[in-house]
This record gives sequence, C-alpha cells and structure tokens, in this order.
Amino acid sequence: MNANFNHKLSAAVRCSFLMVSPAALASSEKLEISGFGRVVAGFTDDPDVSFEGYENELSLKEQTLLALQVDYHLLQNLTITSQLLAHTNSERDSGVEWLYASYVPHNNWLIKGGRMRTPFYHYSDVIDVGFTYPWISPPQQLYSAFLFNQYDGASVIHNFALGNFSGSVEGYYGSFNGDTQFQDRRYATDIDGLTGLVFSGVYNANVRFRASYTTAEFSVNLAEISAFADQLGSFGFVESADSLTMEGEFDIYQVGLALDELDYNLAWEWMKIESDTVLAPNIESYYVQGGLVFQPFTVHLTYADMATNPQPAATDIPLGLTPDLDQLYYAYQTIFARTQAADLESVTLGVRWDAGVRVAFKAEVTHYRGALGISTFEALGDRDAFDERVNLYQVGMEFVF
Amino acid sequence: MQITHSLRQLLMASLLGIYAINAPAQEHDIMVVANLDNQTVKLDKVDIRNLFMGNASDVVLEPVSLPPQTLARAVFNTKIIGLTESRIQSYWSQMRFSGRSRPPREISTVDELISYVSSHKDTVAFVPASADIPAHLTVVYSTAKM
Repeated sequence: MNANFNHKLSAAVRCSFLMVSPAALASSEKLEISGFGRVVAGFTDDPDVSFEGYENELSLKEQTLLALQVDYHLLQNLTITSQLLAHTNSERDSGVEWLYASYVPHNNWLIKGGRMRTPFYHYSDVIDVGFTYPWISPPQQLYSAFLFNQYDGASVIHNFALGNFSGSVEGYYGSFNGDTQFQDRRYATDIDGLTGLVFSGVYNANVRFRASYTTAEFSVNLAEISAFADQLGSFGFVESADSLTMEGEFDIYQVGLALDELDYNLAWEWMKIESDTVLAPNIESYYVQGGLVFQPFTVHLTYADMATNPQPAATDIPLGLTPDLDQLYYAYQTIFARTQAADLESVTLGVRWDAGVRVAFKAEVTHYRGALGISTFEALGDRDAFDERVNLYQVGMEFVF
Repeated sequence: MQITHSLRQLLMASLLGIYAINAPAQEHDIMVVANLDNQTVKLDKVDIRNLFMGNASDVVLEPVSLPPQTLARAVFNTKIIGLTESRIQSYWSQMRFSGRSRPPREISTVDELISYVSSHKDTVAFVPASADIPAHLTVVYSTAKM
C-alpha cells in the first residue's frame, strides 16, 4: 500500500470518529461500525491499450479500497449513516461517500435523505462492496464508471407482501454536482432533476426481479473538447459545436432477473440508455451469468454485450473552400471520431472461494472484443496497432466486517 | 435433473457433515419457534424465508438467529433458506451497505436464544429439534417428520 493510501485511510478513520460524540461511543447499542474492503490486482495481455486503468503491467491500485460505515441510531426509527471510503485509485475521491439520515415511519416504509449512491442497476449502490457479487469487475457493459455514482436528494422505499411475492418500490429525486469518469479521466458533471423509480421483488424467496427507470438532465464539461466546441460555435458552426457538447437529457431502463439455489445460480440483467445528445449515444447492454456452487467454491461464467448506436458527424463545416476551413474540418472529424463509443463483448470465467464467513478470494479472466472508444479501450500509442481483443486477468481478496 | 439432485444431496451432506458425523438424526432437524398470542399459527417455508431475509411478509415478527458456524444455522440455511452461508453473508452485505435492511439479531447460544424469545413477544427463532421449549412458545414449523 502506498503512503497516499495510508494517509487517506487515516484521515477517513479520524473523520469517522470525529462525527460521533463520546456519549454515543459509550452507548454501543446506538452505534454500529462496520466496513468493507478489497485488494485487487490485475493486468491485460495487450500493450497497445488501457482498459479501465488496467495496462499490460500488474497494478494493485485500480480497485483496491477500504471503507467504514458508521450507523448512529438517534432514535429507534431514525438513523444517521455515513460511509467513508479510502481508494488507491488517484482518479477516485476518497472521503465521505454516503451521508444520509434514514427514518422508518412505519414497518414497511423507509425514507432517506442526504448523499447516497445512485441505484441504477442491481449492484450499483454496492459497486465498491466486491463481497456482494461473484465477479472482481462486474460486467463493464453495465457497471463501468460511465455514470456518476452518487446523488444528493431523497428516497422513499415501500415494502409490501402479496402471497409468495415480497416486493419493494423505491422512488428517488435529487441532483449531482461532481465528476464523471470515462476510462481513466474525470470530467466536471452537473446532473439535475434526477428522478428514478425502482421496482424489485422476490418470488418464493429465491427468484429476484428488478426493473427501474431513471431520467435526468445532464451536462459534462469535457475539458479540451468543450473548449474546441465553443470555438466551433463562435465560428458559427453550431451543428458541429452541438455534436461535441455533452449536454441534454438521458433515460435509463433496466430489467433484471436472478435465481438463487443452494448449488447453482443464474442471473440476467439488461439496460438501455437513451439520450438526445450526439456525444452520448444510445446504448443497450446485457449480461447472462451462471454459477455452480462447490462449497466453499463458486465457479461462474458470464457473457456480456454492449451495443452502441452512434450518431453521424455534423456536416456544416465545408471542405475544399480554404486551407483554414479544411484544417478545422479535419480537426473536427478527428475529435469527433475519438469521442465515439464502441461496442463491447466479453466472456468472463471466474472462481470465488469463500474462505471464511466474511472473507472471500477471487480470480477471474475476461476476454474482451471491442474497438477503441470513449468507454472501452484507450490507445496507448499507435491507434492502428490494436487488434480489438484483450484478455484481462485479475485476482482479489474481498472482506466485510 | 438427476445430476442436480445428486449434486444437491452431496452438497447438503458436505454442509451438514462437517459439523458432526455421528450426530443423531434429530440433530439435523430444526424447529422454528415464536412467541405469539395465537398459539395455533403455522408458517410455511416462504414466510420463514421472508422473515429471516428481511423481505416484507404478511406475518410481522422479529427474527432472531444463531451465529454462523453453528449446526442449527447450517441446517436452517440448507433446509429452509436454501442458500449457503457465504451467499447469505453476501446478501446481508448488500442490504447493509446499500442502507436497506440489517440482518437478524444474533444470539450466541441456543439457551440464551430460547430465553430471549420467551421474554419478547412477537419474536421468532430456529432451534435444534431436540431443544426444550417453554410451553408458552409456539412451534410454527419443523423440518422433522411429525
């Protein structure tokens, strides 16, 4: 572990204890401290590209983290929860990940307000808690850091039972002002009017179902690309400028189904992102996963696919009129090409060994097929050298306490 | 599916076998007891699973559990919940760290568990089928052939 990580960690630990008064510490029933962590090492076999920060060199820093959760029960039905996270990846912030109050007005109702995780997909709000899922890296086609993962707002959850079906409906509303990560870079992001509805349930206590809808207004400042778009706009090439502007509305639809048995499990999850913005293409992704349990080992196989629907480049910059305009035309075409998303297909074979009640070791290999793109592979040198096939090897340890 | 069936039997044997090879048959059975006003209540497996997994249920009772790595809990996981202890731990981590719900209270011994349920109305717990139960508690489910 590097010194920076230790520093962040000790800051996070100090911070968590400052937030609770000595009186609270004296009453252990009121205070619960828990946490989770992971140590993950990985590398790819392709020297031409980087993928989610991984390169052709063993790295421990992409996903290694430690987090503490402090729950303080102010009243029997009113709890303050804070989650503090220390991350080795310098592209991710360490600090307060969650800080919210939850209130249970009635047995089947839960109201939360504050800073929370955005519950886009089945594992989105526990994406850092590797102990909760079979993989080391959940299917990137759905779970990449392509989306922001926190919001400030409120959420209402209602649980209900209908015979053998036990369900829950969650509605949430909020905003986000921070950074979004694409590949290994961060961009200032504003999300407003984030509205989501999640319907989930369990049938017969072992068939899980989840469907959700999310919508929001977004604006991402893509640094030098946004600067170039502003320049195009000032020359009057509005169509070209708009095509390089990450601003608009998105809608996300998600459906998932999972079956859990003593000796095997099956899961499927599908999502679709629709947006009116040229730069944020429509995306449709899904994965199917199956696991066999040989206690204490689980062997699992996953196929995942992402299909993007890229939009055509703008055509308002004339070609062949003047050398200056030609230069602008080619600059635009090059930048536009580099901001495009690409399709991504993958097969993952992994094993999870539950070595103790709260410790698991994992190993997995993923074979990816896909082109260079804003949320897939980033060229490290010659863009034409990449053969669009990469294997990612990872080992990890997951724990909760 | 014959293969799945024998695999499951093997798994169940391995889950239970590690605790006590020579344990009498009754050790591999559990009963679910509750502190209720209405002593005629019976629950089915789905009710019990929903209660112990924190899902909404028609029955509102507070579940109380034994710690992992106790024989009765292994039997309960295998025969009622239908998931391995590791899978249950993953599930509760997801619930806790997403701020949705918390696992049942755990009490370390069967005697303390029975005494907790005896003195708290509307609680429910699983205990070995051989355990002595005070008369005011109701057996709402049993894995033993009756």
